Amino acid sequence: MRKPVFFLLLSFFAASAYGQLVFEQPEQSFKAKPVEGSIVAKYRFTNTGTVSVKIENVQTSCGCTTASLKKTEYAPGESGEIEARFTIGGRIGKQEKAILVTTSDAREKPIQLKLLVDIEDQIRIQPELVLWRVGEQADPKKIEVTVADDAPVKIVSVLSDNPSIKAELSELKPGKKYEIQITPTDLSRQGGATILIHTDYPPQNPQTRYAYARIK
Amino acid sequence: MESGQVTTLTRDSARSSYARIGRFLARLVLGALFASAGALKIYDPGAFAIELERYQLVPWKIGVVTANYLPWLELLTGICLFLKWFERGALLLVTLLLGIFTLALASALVRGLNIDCGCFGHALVSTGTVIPILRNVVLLLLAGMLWTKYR
Amino acid sequence: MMSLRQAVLILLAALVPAGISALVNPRRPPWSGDALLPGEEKLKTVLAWGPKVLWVDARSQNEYEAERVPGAVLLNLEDWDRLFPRFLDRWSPDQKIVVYCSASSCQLSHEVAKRLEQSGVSPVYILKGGWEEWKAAR
Repeated sequence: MRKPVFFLLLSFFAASAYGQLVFEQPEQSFKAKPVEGSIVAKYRFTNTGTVSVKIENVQTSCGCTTASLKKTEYAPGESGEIEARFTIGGRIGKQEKAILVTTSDAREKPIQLKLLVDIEDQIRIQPELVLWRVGEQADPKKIEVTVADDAPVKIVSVLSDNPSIKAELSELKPGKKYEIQITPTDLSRQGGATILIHTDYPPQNPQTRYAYARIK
Repeated sequence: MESGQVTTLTRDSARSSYARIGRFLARLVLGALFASAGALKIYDPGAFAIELERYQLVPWKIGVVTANYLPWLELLTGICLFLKWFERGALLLVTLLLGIFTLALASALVRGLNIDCGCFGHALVSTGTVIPILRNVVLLLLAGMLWTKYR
Repeated sequence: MMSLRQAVLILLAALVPAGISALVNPRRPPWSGDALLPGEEKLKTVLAWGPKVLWVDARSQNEYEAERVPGAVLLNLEDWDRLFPRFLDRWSPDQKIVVYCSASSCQLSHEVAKRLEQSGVSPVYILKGGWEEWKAAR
């Protein structure tokens, strides 16, 4: 009758002896806004084994995530942490990035840490691109800019980098819904413009978003 | 002497009621886990088939048959174990299935399949494979506990 | 053995709902393993389209510079703001856009394709098998 309990306990010991570097939270989730620029996640671990472990390599699944360590060798019982920095870049929505940790412990295959970031799109530009064909009629096209409800962002101004394609901003719903009217003047040949959408957030370094006009 | 005997009997029945409780819990846990695992996969067999393909163990068509059949088998087996219908048969199936799942996971671990994404090349083995294996080992031990009833 | 007989009964009983699901479940897997996910195209199909294909590489800058489909334009999510206008300069609406990333398990091509479609660019296709598929065919 005692045997099954014994085997159960044995299996738990086996489980903890299997991995020498035990991570407290190998999977971490964050919510972020694009203005934050980057997210830092700290992965704490402890060497629960009986010998020293050396971290040989820490590799990330993309250039957008960098990982750093204070030192590479950890004695039994010692704790440490891997700091991962994920740069948001132009991304929006749910992102999943992986960090691969290779150790000197021969029994263990590389450990994978996960960083999940849900990036909220504070400003929606729809559509991002307006297109005319050469020879078409020069009808203006509209781009709608919507600001998320809880976002303290306002559109200040718009500017076209090509004077022959005009951009005009109008506010449909104060602070929440805007409209940019794009009017080309010469549709006889190909061309284009980048529309700079200036915001007022964050105050120290206001973000500029972009929309594009093309004549093809 | 009389009191000594009584003490021994009490100790034995205490031990056997612990064992009974243990088996009862094991039956509930295994039955519920299997039934819910099956129920979740019944909804979207297509997604399950795609997951199976990542393990590269069987050709696609066999994966399709498995994706359609296995969830129902899990659900039925789990319910039977939970409700004590065909308990021995259900236990046999649970043990067999756990064994097969663990072998499949172990083979993925050994081959180092990049199950998550193609970004790392082929040396990737995620903790996502190790933990389910350990979990299955624990579940197998629970099943082992239930088998002791039939010894 | 009673346990064997009971097990066989359960095995047989499960066949019934499984068989029904295989016939009517809207999310049942396709019998043919070659099935393409929405938007995907096989390499053979894409090559047959000829010169009107614009290849889009959804991988990182490093991978793109190391090796890529000749003539492909780099467009990834990390550097979207910098790369998208460059893509637009290369693009013409008469072209068929085919996005690829490292392999079939990689999701980046799907993400970039979705973003392209949202921005108003179309038609956008995804190369089934990704860069690995291209390399294998060469």
